[in-house]
Amino acid sequence: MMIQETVAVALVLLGAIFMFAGSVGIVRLPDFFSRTHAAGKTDTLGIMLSLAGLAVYEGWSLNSLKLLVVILFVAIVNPVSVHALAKAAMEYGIKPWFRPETGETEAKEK
Amino acid sequence: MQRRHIRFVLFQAVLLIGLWLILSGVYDIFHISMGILSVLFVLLFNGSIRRVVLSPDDRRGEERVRVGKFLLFCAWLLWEIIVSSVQVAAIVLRPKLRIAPHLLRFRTRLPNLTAKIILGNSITLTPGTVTIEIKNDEFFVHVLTRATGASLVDGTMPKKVAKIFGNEQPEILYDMRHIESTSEL
Repeated sequence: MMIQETVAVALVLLGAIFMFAGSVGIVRLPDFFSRTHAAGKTDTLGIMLSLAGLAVYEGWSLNSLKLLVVILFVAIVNPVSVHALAKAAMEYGIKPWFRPETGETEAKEK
Repeated sequence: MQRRHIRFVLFQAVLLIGLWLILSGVYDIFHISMGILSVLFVLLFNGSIRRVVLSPDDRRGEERVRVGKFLLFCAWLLWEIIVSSVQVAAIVLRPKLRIAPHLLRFRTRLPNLTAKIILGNSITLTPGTVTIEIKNDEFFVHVLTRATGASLVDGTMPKKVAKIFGNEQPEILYDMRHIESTSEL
């Protein structure tokens, strides 16, 4: 029982770390497109890990099966929504940010 | 054609009833019959969606999927998601922001629409790469750093997707172009 709880807590914490990294990324990255990477995708793993941790905590029960269904749902829906965002931005005419070829070597932070 | 259609509908029905049984958790005649009624309603409702043709190479329900290869691909994809998530998290949390965002434009020789959808979603699912657009067989992808786009540029991922559909061509990608400044757009 002890091991099960330890694994569950470790997974949830790991998931939280990835979600935190995603949030930091939204603030730090320079433009819309690189922000979608941070917003939509480190979150995928973060949510999957957190939910997997909760499933481990529940043990073999119907609830953990439901959590697995939610994980599957997130894995399918997340890329679709991120793609929709990126495509909409592209069609709206937002230009992606590129690293300047000469001069500055550091990314501007916004 | 007709048999495939029936198989497709049956597959959907099994998935839906499975979802109902998992989510409801109450197993008496009343609730299960409610579930069966709902599944029938959804199938009826979805029947016309299947007739919508999304593109000329739309072969939904007709393509042969290799289940073993597909499961292997899912496991590989999960590993890839973990690796590149760690990479992106490390990039974001480091004091110096070492990113080199660029766009990739390339064509593929994937056999059908489903394969393209799987590839597009897999690209977006692995952190550091986002599919912006798929037009016929041309993909348009935003990449955060060189490292996160590696498995795409060397063609590992597209090859694995093609294998799900029994397509063993060595070169899936062609016409690869890196776009690294606004003027090249």
